[in-house]
Amino acid sequence: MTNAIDCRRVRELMDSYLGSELTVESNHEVLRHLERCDACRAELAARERARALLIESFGPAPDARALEARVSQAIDHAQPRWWRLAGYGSVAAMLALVVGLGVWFSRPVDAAAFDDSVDNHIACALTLPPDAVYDPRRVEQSLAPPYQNIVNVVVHQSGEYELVDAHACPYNNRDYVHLVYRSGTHLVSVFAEAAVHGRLPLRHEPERKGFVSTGASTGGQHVFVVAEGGTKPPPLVVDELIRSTTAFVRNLER
Amino acid sequence: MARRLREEFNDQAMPHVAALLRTATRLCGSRDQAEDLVQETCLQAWRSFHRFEPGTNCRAWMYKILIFSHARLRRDQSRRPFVTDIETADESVLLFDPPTPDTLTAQSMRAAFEAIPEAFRVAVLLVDVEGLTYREAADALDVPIGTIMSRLNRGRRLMRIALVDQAADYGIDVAAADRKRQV
Repeated sequence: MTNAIDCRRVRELMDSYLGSELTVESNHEVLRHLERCDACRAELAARERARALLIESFGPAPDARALEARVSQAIDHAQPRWWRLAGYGSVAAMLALVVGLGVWFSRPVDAAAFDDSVDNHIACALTLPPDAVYDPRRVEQSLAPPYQNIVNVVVHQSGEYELVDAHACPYNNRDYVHLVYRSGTHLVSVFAEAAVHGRLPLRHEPERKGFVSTGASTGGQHVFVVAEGGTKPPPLVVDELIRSTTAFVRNLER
Repeated sequence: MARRLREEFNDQAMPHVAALLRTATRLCGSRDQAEDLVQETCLQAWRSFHRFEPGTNCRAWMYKILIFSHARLRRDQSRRPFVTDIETADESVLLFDPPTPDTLTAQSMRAAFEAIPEAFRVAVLLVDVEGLTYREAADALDVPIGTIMSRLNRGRRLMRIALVDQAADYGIDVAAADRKRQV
Protein backbone atom coordinates (compact mmCIF):
# COMPACT_ATOMS: atom_id res chain seq x y z
CA MET A 1 0.00 0.00 0.00
CA THR A 2 1.43 3.42 -0.91
CA ASN A 3 0.68 6.85 0.45
CA ALA A 4 -1.59 8.86 -1.92
CA ILE A 5 0.16 12.14 -1.13
CA ASP A 6 3.48 10.52 -1.96
CA CYS A 7 2.08 9.43 -5.31
CA ARG A 8 0.83 12.93 -6.07
CA ARG A 9 4.19 14.45 -5.16
CA VAL A 10 6.09 11.88 -7.20
CA ARG A 11 3.91 12.48 -10.23
CA GLU A 12 4.59 16.20 -9.97
CA LEU A 13 8.30 15.46 -10.02
CA MET A 14 8.13 12.66 -12.56
CA ASP A 15 8.74 14.67 -15.74
CA SER A 16 11.67 16.51 -14.19
CA TYR A 17 12.99 13.11 -13.06
CA LEU A 18 12.79 11.90 -16.68
CA GLY A 19 14.67 14.99 -17.80
CA SER A 20 17.36 14.56 -15.12
CA GLU A 21 16.43 17.97 -13.75
CA LEU A 22 15.88 17.00 -10.10
CA THR A 23 18.17 17.70 -7.18
CA VAL A 24 19.94 14.65 -5.74
CA GLU A 25 17.57 14.65 -2.76
CA SER A 26 14.40 14.78 -4.88
CA ASN A 27 15.82 12.17 -7.21
CA HIS A 28 16.31 9.81 -4.26
CA GLU A 29 12.83 10.61 -3.03
CA VAL A 30 11.38 9.58 -6.40
CA LEU A 31 13.55 6.46 -6.66
CA ARG A 32 12.60 5.31 -3.15
CA HIS A 33 8.93 5.75 -3.95
CA LEU A 34 9.19 3.97 -7.29
CA GLU A 35 10.76 0.94 -5.61
CA ARG A 36 7.56 0.30 -3.70
CA CYS A 37 4.81 1.76 -5.93
CA ASP A 38 3.65 -0.27 -8.93
CA ALA A 39 1.20 2.41 -10.09
CA CYS A 40 3.84 5.15 -10.24
CA ARG A 41 6.28 2.81 -11.98
CA ALA A 42 3.59 2.15 -14.57
CA GLU A 43 2.90 5.91 -14.85
CA LEU A 44 6.63 6.58 -15.30
CA ALA A 45 6.82 4.00 -18.07
CA ALA A 46 3.73 5.52 -19.70
CA ARG A 47 5.24 9.02 -19.61
CA GLU A 48 8.55 7.76 -21.02
CA ARG A 49 6.64 6.09 -23.83
CA ALA A 50 4.52 9.23 -24.37
CA ARG A 51 7.65 11.35 -24.71
CA ALA A 52 9.22 8.89 -27.15
CA LEU A 53 6.01 8.81 -29.20
CA LEU A 54 5.86 12.61 -29.29
CA ILE A 55 9.41 12.72 -30.67
CA GLU A 56 8.53 9.95 -33.13
CA SER A 57 5.44 11.89 -34.27
CA PHE A 58 7.68 14.58 -35.76
CA GLY A 59 9.38 12.06 -38.00
CA PRO A 60 13.12 11.77 -38.61
CA ALA A 61 15.34 14.83 -38.30
CA PRO A 62 15.55 16.67 -41.63
CA ASP A 63 18.78 16.49 -43.59
CA ALA A 64 20.44 19.83 -42.95
CA ARG A 65 23.54 19.47 -45.16
CA ALA A 66 22.18 21.55 -48.03
CA LEU A 67 21.03 24.24 -45.60
CA GLU A 68 24.44 24.32 -43.89
CA ALA A 69 26.06 25.02 -47.26
CA ARG A 70 23.47 27.70 -48.02
CA VAL A 71 24.02 29.35 -44.64
CA SER A 72 27.81 29.33 -45.09
CA GLN A 73 27.42 30.98 -48.45
CA ALA A 74 25.04 33.60 -47.03
CA ILE A 75 27.52 34.35 -44.25
CA ASP A 76 30.31 34.77 -46.80
CA HIS A 77 28.23 37.39 -48.55
CA ALA A 78 27.17 39.05 -45.31
CA GLN A 79 30.74 39.23 -44.04
CA PRO A 80 32.20 42.72 -44.03
CA ARG A 81 34.43 43.15 -47.05
CA TRP A 82 37.45 44.28 -45.01
CA TRP A 83 37.26 41.05 -43.01
CA ARG A 84 37.33 38.98 -46.13
CA LEU A 85 40.29 40.89 -47.41
CA ALA A 86 42.07 40.85 -44.07
CA GLY A 87 41.66 37.08 -44.07
CA TYR A 88 44.18 36.87 -46.89
CA GLY A 89 46.53 39.16 -45.00
CA SER A 90 48.24 40.43 -48.13
CA VAL A 91 49.30 43.83 -49.29
CA ALA A 92 47.15 43.35 -52.35
CA ALA A 93 44.15 42.92 -50.11
CA MET A 94 44.95 46.13 -48.29
CA LEU A 95 45.29 47.94 -51.60
CA ALA A 96 41.95 46.56 -52.64
CA LEU A 97 40.52 47.89 -49.41
CA VAL A 98 41.86 51.35 -50.19
CA VAL A 99 40.38 51.14 -53.67
CA GLY A 100 37.13 49.96 -52.15
CA LEU A 101 37.11 52.92 -49.78
CA GLY A 102 37.75 55.19 -52.74
CA VAL A 103 34.71 53.75 -54.45
CA TRP A 104 32.65 54.31 -51.33
CA PHE A 105 33.84 57.91 -51.08
CA SER A 106 32.69 58.51 -54.61
CA ARG A 107 29.11 57.58 -53.71
CA PRO A 108 27.25 60.81 -53.11
CA VAL A 109 24.38 59.38 -51.05
CA ASP A 110 24.48 56.58 -48.47
CA ALA A 111 20.99 55.25 -49.23
CA ALA A 112 21.15 52.30 -46.82
CA ALA A 113 22.46 54.31 -43.86
CA PHE A 114 19.25 54.31 -41.82
CA ASP A 115 18.19 50.77 -42.79
CA ASP A 116 21.56 49.33 -41.72
CA SER A 117 21.39 51.02 -38.34
CA VAL A 118 17.91 49.55 -37.76
CA ASP A 119 19.07 46.10 -38.87
CA ASN A 120 22.08 46.30 -36.59
CA HIS A 121 19.84 47.32 -33.67
CA ILE A 122 17.82 44.13 -34.30
CA ALA A 123 20.89 41.92 -34.79
CA CYS A 124 22.91 43.31 -31.91
CA ALA A 125 21.07 45.32 -29.25
CA LEU A 126 18.03 43.02 -29.12
CA THR A 127 20.23 40.00 -28.40
CA LEU A 128 21.80 41.73 -25.40
CA PRO A 129 21.01 39.75 -22.22
CA PRO A 130 18.07 41.43 -20.42
CA ASP A 131 20.06 41.60 -17.18
CA ALA A 132 23.15 43.16 -18.79
CA VAL A 133 24.54 46.09 -16.81
CA TYR A 134 27.22 48.60 -17.67
CA ASP A 135 30.61 46.98 -17.08
CA PRO A 136 33.49 49.46 -17.52
CA ARG A 137 36.05 46.69 -18.05
CA ARG A 138 33.98 44.91 -20.72
CA VAL A 139 33.28 48.24 -22.43
CA GLU A 140 36.95 49.21 -22.40
CA GLN A 141 37.85 45.89 -24.04
CA SER A 142 35.03 46.15 -26.58
CA LEU A 143 35.68 49.65 -27.91
CA ALA A 144 38.11 50.29 -30.73
CA PRO A 145 39.80 53.39 -32.15
CA PRO A 146 38.78 56.06 -32.85
CA TYR A 147 35.87 55.64 -30.46
CA GLN A 148 37.69 54.16 -27.46
CA ASN A 149 37.03 57.23 -25.30
CA ILE A 150 33.43 57.82 -26.32
CA VAL A 151 32.00 56.65 -22.98
CA ASN A 152 33.91 59.44 -21.25
CA VAL A 153 31.99 62.02 -23.27
CA VAL A 154 28.46 60.74 -23.93
CA VAL A 155 25.69 60.85 -21.33
CA HIS A 156 25.27 57.65 -19.30
CA GLN A 157 21.73 58.57 -18.29
CA SER A 158 19.06 60.45 -20.21
CA GLY A 159 15.57 60.57 -18.75
CA GLU A 160 14.86 56.99 -17.73
CA TYR A 161 17.36 55.59 -20.21
CA GLU A 162 20.65 54.28 -18.87
CA LEU A 163 23.77 53.30 -20.82
CA VAL A 164 24.22 49.49 -20.49
CA ASP A 165 26.74 48.68 -23.22
CA ALA A 166 29.19 50.25 -25.66
CA HIS A 167 31.25 48.37 -28.19
CA ALA A 168 32.83 48.41 -31.63
CA CYS A 169 30.18 46.91 -33.90
CA PRO A 170 31.22 45.94 -37.43
CA TYR A 171 28.07 45.38 -39.47
CA ASN A 172 27.36 45.11 -43.17
CA ASN A 173 30.60 46.79 -44.29
CA ARG A 174 30.25 49.46 -41.61
CA ASP A 175 32.44 50.09 -38.58
CA TYR A 176 29.98 51.41 -36.05
CA VAL A 177 30.49 52.29 -32.46
CA HIS A 178 27.32 51.08 -30.77
CA LEU A 179 25.90 52.52 -27.55
CA VAL A 180 22.93 50.71 -26.01
CA TYR A 181 20.61 52.51 -23.59
CA ARG A 182 17.85 50.77 -21.68
CA SER A 183 14.75 51.79 -19.76
CA GLY A 184 12.97 48.74 -18.33
CA THR A 185 12.80 46.34 -21.25
CA HIS A 186 12.95 49.08 -23.88
CA LEU A 187 16.25 49.44 -25.72
CA VAL A 188 17.58 52.37 -27.69
CA SER A 189 20.67 52.11 -29.89
CA VAL A 190 22.95 54.99 -30.75
CA PHE A 191 25.40 54.37 -33.57
CA ALA A 192 28.23 56.51 -34.89
CA GLU A 193 30.29 55.75 -37.97
CA ALA A 194 32.68 57.51 -40.28
CA ALA A 195 30.80 58.86 -43.31
CA VAL A 196 32.78 56.69 -45.73
CA HIS A 197 29.68 55.53 -47.60
CA GLY A 198 28.57 59.03 -48.57
CA ARG A 199 26.26 61.64 -47.17
CA LEU A 200 22.98 60.85 -45.51
CA PRO A 201 19.91 60.82 -47.76
CA LEU A 202 17.78 63.91 -47.42
CA ARG A 203 14.65 61.77 -47.00
CA HIS A 204 14.29 58.28 -45.60
CA GLU A 205 11.54 55.95 -44.44
CA PRO A 206 11.59 56.49 -40.65
CA GLU A 207 10.01 53.11 -39.84
CA ARG A 208 11.51 49.72 -40.73
CA LYS A 209 10.57 46.29 -39.37
CA GLY A 210 8.68 47.96 -36.53
CA PHE A 211 11.59 50.17 -35.49
CA VAL A 212 12.14 53.89 -36.03
CA SER A 213 15.40 55.63 -36.79
CA THR A 214 16.65 59.14 -36.91
CA GLY A 215 20.09 60.52 -37.58
CA ALA A 216 22.44 63.47 -37.82
CA SER A 217 25.63 64.15 -39.75
CA THR A 218 28.69 66.22 -38.92
CA GLY A 219 30.01 65.79 -42.45
CA GLY A 220 32.74 63.31 -41.55
CA GLN A 221 30.66 61.25 -39.13
CA HIS A 222 27.07 60.02 -38.96
CA VAL A 223 25.08 59.45 -35.75
CA PHE A 224 21.89 57.38 -35.63
CA VAL A 225 19.33 56.62 -32.94
CA VAL A 226 17.11 53.54 -33.30
CA ALA A 227 14.19 52.56 -31.06
CA GLU A 228 11.12 50.37 -31.11
CA GLY A 229 8.26 51.93 -33.06
CA GLY A 230 5.27 53.15 -31.08
CA THR A 231 7.12 53.25 -27.79
CA LYS A 232 10.02 55.41 -28.85
CA PRO A 233 11.72 57.45 -26.13
CA PRO A 234 10.71 61.08 -25.54
CA PRO A 235 12.09 63.52 -28.14
CA LEU A 236 14.17 65.20 -25.43
CA VAL A 237 15.96 61.91 -24.76
CA VAL A 238 16.62 61.32 -28.47
CA ASP A 239 17.84 64.89 -28.78
CA GLU A 240 20.19 64.51 -25.81
CA LEU A 241 21.59 61.19 -27.06
CA ILE A 242 22.28 62.64 -30.51
CA ARG A 243 23.80 65.82 -29.07
CA SER A 244 26.10 64.04 -26.64
CA THR A 245 27.31 61.57 -29.30
CA THR A 246 27.71 64.32 -31.86
CA ALA A 247 29.83 66.26 -29.35
CA PHE A 248 32.25 63.33 -29.26
CA VAL A 249 32.45 62.73 -33.03
CA ARG A 250 33.00 66.44 -33.72
CA ASN A 251 36.17 66.17 -31.67
CA LEU A 252 37.37 63.37 -33.96
CA GLU A 253 37.29 65.78 -36.88
CA ARG A 254 39.43 68.43 -35.18
CA MET B 1 41.25 37.86 -36.83
CA ALA B 2 38.44 37.48 -39.35
CA ARG B 3 39.46 33.93 -40.20
CA ARG B 4 39.72 33.00 -36.53
CA LEU B 5 36.27 34.46 -35.78
CA ARG B 6 34.81 32.53 -38.70
CA GLU B 7 36.49 29.32 -37.53
CA GLU B 8 35.06 29.85 -34.04
CA PHE B 9 31.62 30.43 -35.55
CA ASN B 10 31.98 27.25 -37.63
CA ASP B 11 33.04 25.30 -34.53
CA GLN B 12 30.51 26.64 -32.07
CA ALA B 13 27.44 27.79 -33.97
CA MET B 14 27.24 25.78 -37.18
CA PRO B 15 26.93 22.35 -35.47
CA HIS B 16 23.50 23.49 -34.21
CA VAL B 17 22.05 24.11 -37.69
CA ALA B 18 20.49 20.63 -37.94
CA ALA B 19 18.81 20.91 -34.53
CA LEU B 20 17.65 24.44 -35.29
CA LEU B 21 16.16 23.25 -38.59
CA ARG B 22 14.31 20.47 -36.78
CA THR B 23 12.88 22.91 -34.26
CA ALA B 24 12.12 25.53 -36.90
CA THR B 25 10.28 22.95 -39.00
CA ARG B 26 8.15 22.12 -35.97
CA LEU B 27 7.54 25.80 -35.22
CA CYS B 28 6.73 26.85 -38.80
CA GLY B 29 5.11 23.66 -40.08
CA SER B 30 6.78 24.20 -43.46
CA ARG B 31 10.27 23.13 -44.51
CA ASP B 32 10.77 26.17 -46.77
CA GLN B 33 9.81 28.64 -44.06
CA ALA B 34 11.94 26.74 -41.55
CA GLU B 35 15.02 26.95 -43.79
CA ASP B 36 14.53 30.69 -44.25
CA LEU B 37 14.11 31.10 -40.50
CA VAL B 38 17.30 29.14 -39.73
CA GLN B 39 19.27 31.06 -42.34
CA GLU B 40 18.07 34.34 -40.86
CA THR B 41 18.95 33.04 -37.38
CA CYS B 42 22.48 32.11 -38.46
CA LEU B 43 23.03 35.45 -40.16
CA GLN B 44 21.85 37.31 -37.07
CA ALA B 45 24.11 35.11 -34.94
CA TRP B 46 27.09 35.78 -37.21
CA ARG B 47 26.51 39.54 -37.17
CA SER B 48 26.44 39.46 -33.37
CA PHE B 49 29.09 36.78 -32.90
CA HIS B 50 31.74 39.30 -31.86
CA ARG B 51 29.60 39.80 -28.77
CA PHE B 52 29.17 36.10 -27.97
CA GLU B 53 31.13 35.25 -24.85
CA PRO B 54 33.29 32.12 -25.32
CA GLY B 55 32.51 29.49 -22.73
CA THR B 56 28.83 30.40 -22.49
CA ASN B 57 26.13 28.21 -23.99
CA CYS B 58 26.11 28.70 -27.76
CA ARG B 59 23.18 26.32 -28.28
CA ALA B 60 20.94 28.33 -25.93
CA TRP B 61 22.12 31.56 -27.58
CA MET B 62 21.26 30.25 -31.06
CA TYR B 63 17.87 29.04 -29.87
CA LYS B 64 17.21 32.44 -28.34
CA ILE B 65 17.83 34.12 -31.69
CA LEU B 66 15.67 31.49 -33.45
CA ILE B 67 12.75 31.98 -31.05
CA PHE B 68 13.09 35.76 -31.25
CA SER B 69 13.21 35.71 -35.06
CA HIS B 70 10.21 33.39 -35.20
CA ALA B 71 8.24 35.56 -32.77
CA ARG B 72 9.07 38.68 -34.79
CA LEU B 73 8.04 36.93 -37.99
CA ARG B 74 4.73 35.94 -36.45
CA ARG B 75 4.21 39.39 -34.98
CA ASP B 76 4.89 40.95 -38.36
CA GLN B 77 2.44 38.54 -39.97
CA SER B 78 -0.38 38.80 -37.47
CA ARG B 79 0.32 42.14 -35.76
CA ARG B 80 -0.49 40.37 -32.50
CA PRO B 81 1.82 39.68 -29.57
CA PHE B 82 3.38 36.21 -29.59
CA VAL B 83 2.68 35.38 -25.97
CA THR B 84 -0.73 36.18 -24.59
CA ASP B 85 -1.58 36.07 -20.93
CA ILE B 86 -1.37 32.31 -20.53
CA GLU B 87 0.36 32.11 -17.18
CA THR B 88 -2.99 32.25 -15.39
CA ALA B 89 -5.03 30.39 -18.01
CA ASP B 90 -6.94 27.19 -17.39
CA GLU B 91 -6.35 27.10 -13.63
CA SER B 92 -9.53 25.14 -13.00
CA VAL B 93 -8.66 22.53 -15.61
CA LEU B 94 -5.14 22.16 -14.25
CA LEU B 95 -6.29 21.14 -10.78
CA PHE B 96 -6.94 17.79 -12.44
CA ASP B 97 -3.84 15.75 -13.32
CA PRO B 98 -4.91 12.53 -14.95
CA PRO B 99 -2.66 9.51 -15.43
CA THR B 100 -1.15 8.93 -18.85
CA PRO B 101 -3.28 6.53 -20.89
CA ASP B 102 -1.72 3.19 -21.81
CA THR B 103 -3.20 3.31 -25.29
CA LEU B 104 -1.02 5.90 -26.97
CA THR B 105 0.10 6.37 -30.53
CA ALA B 106 2.42 8.89 -32.15
CA GLN B 107 -0.64 10.44 -33.80
CA SER B 108 -2.53 10.82 -30.53
CA MET B 109 0.53 12.40 -28.88
CA ARG B 110 0.90 14.83 -31.76
CA ALA B 111 -2.79 15.75 -31.60
CA ALA B 112 -2.50 16.39 -27.85
CA PHE B 113 0.64 18.49 -28.42
CA GLU B 114 -1.08 20.59 -31.09
CA ALA B 115 -4.06 21.15 -28.77
CA ILE B 116 -2.18 23.05 -26.06
CA PRO B 117 -1.52 26.83 -26.08
CA GLU B 118 1.47 27.96 -28.10
CA ALA B 119 3.65 29.19 -25.22
CA PHE B 120 3.28 25.82 -23.48
CA ARG B 121 3.85 24.01 -26.78
CA VAL B 122 7.13 25.83 -27.41
CA ALA B 123 8.37 24.96 -23.89
CA VAL B 124 7.45 21.28 -24.37
CA LEU B 125 9.05 21.29 -27.82
CA LEU B 126 12.35 22.72 -26.59
CA VAL B 127 12.67 20.51 -23.50
CA ASP B 128 10.84 17.24 -24.15
CA VAL B 129 11.48 16.96 -27.89
CA GLU B 130 14.72 18.87 -28.52
CA GLY B 131 16.31 17.96 -25.20
CA LEU B 132 17.25 21.45 -23.99
CA THR B 133 17.76 21.77 -20.25
CA TYR B 134 15.37 23.96 -18.26
CA ARG B 135 18.13 26.60 -18.03
CA GLU B 136 18.77 26.52 -21.79
CA ALA B 137 15.05 26.78 -22.57
CA ALA B 138 14.69 29.68 -20.13
CA ASP B 139 17.60 31.46 -21.84
CA ALA B 140 16.19 30.72 -25.29
CA LEU B 141 12.77 32.10 -24.39
CA ASP B 142 14.21 34.91 -22.28
CA VAL B 143 12.08 34.04 -19.26
CA PRO B 144 12.97 33.02 -15.69
CA ILE B 145 13.57 29.31 -15.15
CA GLY B 146 10.50 29.17 -12.88
CA THR B 147 8.34 30.30 -15.80
CA ILE B 148 9.72 27.48 -17.95
CA MET B 149 8.99 24.93 -15.23
CA SER B 150 5.48 26.31 -14.83
CA ARG B 151 4.81 26.25 -18.60
CA LEU B 152 6.17 22.71 -18.87
CA ASN B 153 4.08 21.53 -15.95
CA ARG B 154 0.93 23.07 -17.40
CA GLY B 155 1.71 22.01 -20.96
CA ARG B 156 2.36 18.38 -20.04
CA ARG B 157 -0.70 18.26 -17.82
CA LEU B 158 -2.92 19.76 -20.55
CA MET B 159 -1.53 17.15 -22.95
CA ARG B 160 -2.45 14.37 -20.53
CA ILE B 161 -5.94 15.83 -20.22
CA ALA B 162 -6.23 15.90 -24.02
CA LEU B 163 -5.05 12.28 -24.18
CA VAL B 164 -7.63 11.23 -21.59
CA ASP B 165 -10.34 13.00 -23.60
CA GLN B 166 -9.17 11.14 -26.71
CA ALA B 167 -9.19 7.83 -24.81
CA ALA B 168 -12.70 8.56 -23.54
CA ASP B 169 -13.82 9.03 -27.14
CA TYR B 170 -12.75 5.41 -27.64
CA GLY B 171 -14.61 4.32 -24.51
CA ILE B 172 -11.49 3.92 -22.34
CA ASP B 173 -11.72 5.01 -18.70
CA VAL B 174 -8.15 6.06 -17.89
CA ALA B 175 -8.78 6.79 -14.20
CA ALA B 176 -10.21 3.31 -13.73
CA ALA B 177 -7.20 1.82 -15.50
CA ASP B 178 -4.90 3.75 -13.15
CA ARG B 179 -6.79 2.49 -10.10
CA LYS B 180 -6.29 -1.01 -11.46
CA ARG B 181 -2.51 -0.32 -11.68
CA GLN B 182 -2.50 0.41 -7.94
CA VAL B 183 -4.16 -2.87 -6.94
